[in-house]
Amino acid sequence: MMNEIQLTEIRNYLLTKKLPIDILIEVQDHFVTQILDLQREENLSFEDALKMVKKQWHDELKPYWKGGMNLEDVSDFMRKMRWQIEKSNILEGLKLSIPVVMLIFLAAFFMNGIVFGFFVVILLTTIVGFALYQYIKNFKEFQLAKKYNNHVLTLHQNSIFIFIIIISPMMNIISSAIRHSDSFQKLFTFRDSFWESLFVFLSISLVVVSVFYSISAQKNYLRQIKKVKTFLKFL
Amino acid sequence: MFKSNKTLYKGTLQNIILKLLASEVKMYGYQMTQRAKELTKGHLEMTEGALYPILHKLENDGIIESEVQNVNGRDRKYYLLTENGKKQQVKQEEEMKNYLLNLTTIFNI
Repeated sequence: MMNEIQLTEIRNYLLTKKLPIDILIEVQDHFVTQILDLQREENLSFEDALKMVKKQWHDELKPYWKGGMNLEDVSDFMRKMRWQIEKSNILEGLKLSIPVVMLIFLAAFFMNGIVFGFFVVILLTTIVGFALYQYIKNFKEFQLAKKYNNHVLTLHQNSIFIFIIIISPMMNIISSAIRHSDSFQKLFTFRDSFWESLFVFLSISLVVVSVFYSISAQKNYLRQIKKVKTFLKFL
Repeated sequence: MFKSNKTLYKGTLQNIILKLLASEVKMYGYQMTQRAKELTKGHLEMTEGALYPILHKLENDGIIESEVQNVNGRDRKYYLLTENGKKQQVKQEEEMKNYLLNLTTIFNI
């Protein structure tokens, strides 16, 4: 069993490593259990066991700049965590967008210009509306990331607002779909200009993927935030 | 990733985690590293830097889920297989056994 002073020492050490809180909770438990095992098996004092555990984690938790556009110092552990989390959200976004994009593509062949224009507008508005609804419905939970802005509560919090950023390109798509519905529909049939059609098709795909990516991040944020609430008193 | 040959074990970590969870029902991160070490008599030592990113990925993918329990005044995150994860684990175990069988056949020439 560890006393409160020892637990605080571990917690403060991990907070200096700038780990997101949902990950820190796990690493803290790992540290504590590892230290207790070392104390029991090798008859070490708390200080010596902590020193050994810190040494073992040193390479993983050491922040450094590994090149690239971002000048931030990041540890290998966080790089791997970020990559896995981003990858999961992107793949989820892609998986959910494929049916929607395919539906838009196929609808262009079976609907007239005006109906197609409204169909696209309703579809895009519904998806963005869902992301917005989720945000408003769980506003209090999402506000926690702002309230504790000196810490990252979970890595998912960085991606929950992507759907707001893409509202501007989406408005352009909606405007074209309503004002020039016939030419807009023709673009999706790839009959006239292939490259122009491809550009519009990829733009709309990007918008849809981004919204679903954001929805996936929101869902994961809400799941993780439940687990960090008991830790917030230490921040 | 592992203390023993890194290249050989790379790519099997997910299978190992799922198998451990299938046999123990629910486990926490440190427990997994210790169980793998114990089962292999110290040959397989999962590093934390490899374990936790995979656990979070599996959780995001809905293969495992987690619950936090208070143990001796601190939070402990337990992982367990979801229904989807249980099916995935059975499938992956079957694939892994076939793979190992094929390897054994080849290396027994």
